[in-house]
Amino acid sequence: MNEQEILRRLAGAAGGSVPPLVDVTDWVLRDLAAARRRRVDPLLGWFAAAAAAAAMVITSMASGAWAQWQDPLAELFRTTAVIP
Amino acid sequence: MDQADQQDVAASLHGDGRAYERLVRRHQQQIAARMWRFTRDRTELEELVHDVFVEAYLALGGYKGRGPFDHWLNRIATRVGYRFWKRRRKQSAQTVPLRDWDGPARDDPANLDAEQAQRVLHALMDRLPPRDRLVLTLMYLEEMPVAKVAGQTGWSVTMVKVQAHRARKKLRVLLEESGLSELFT
Repeated sequence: MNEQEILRRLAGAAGGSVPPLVDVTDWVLRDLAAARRRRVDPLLGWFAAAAAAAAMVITSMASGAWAQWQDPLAELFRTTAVIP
Repeated sequence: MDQADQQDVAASLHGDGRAYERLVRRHQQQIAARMWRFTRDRTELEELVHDVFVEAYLALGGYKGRGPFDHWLNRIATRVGYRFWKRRRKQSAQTVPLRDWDGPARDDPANLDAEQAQRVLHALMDRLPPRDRLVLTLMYLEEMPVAKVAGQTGWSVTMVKVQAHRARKKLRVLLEESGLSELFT
């Protein structure tokens, strides 16, 4: 009997060996959700940082800080305008 | 099932988690049967089935629906199993003892029950390099034609034939060395 026949015979005899029942559904879905979170979290971080920066600018403009910072420049332009 | 698979793949690609859950439930036992060729350990089996479905999800965009979904899934399963064999062979050179079948079966292979035959088969194949083992598993245990083996492995048809020839040669030596070929005459 050659090696192919031996292999086939063993495989034939092993044919009745049934694999155990598995249920990996929850495990797979959990890991995929975690992977999605890992992808989304850095984006959310960037978005939050950009939103915070925008909010700071708006707040400083509204509170007059923007005007104070602008004033010296405005004064300078006014001064140069009157020099003959 | 094909129609349901196609619909669930499309829905999964649009972010429907329930659709992918249905795909996993529908195919996990068939994939487990395939992965049972790659390991005899229940924990490892579950890990392999899990890895197949995670990998399939990440590659889902590459499924074009030209063939049945389970064919595509089986290709991924073959890759995952092959990688598992390679990794395990790297980690440890030790193999399952070939003579772990006992009692009357040792004298008469015809008396092997399914579990014993599976154990002997696994011990035998465990001694072959992963490439040889893969080609023999697909061709003689799964009884796939050469073209299908090529499709599953990503090798050319010529490559499959050459690999199978080499693997059979190594198997012959192994059978002679272990005395199994005499028992089967």
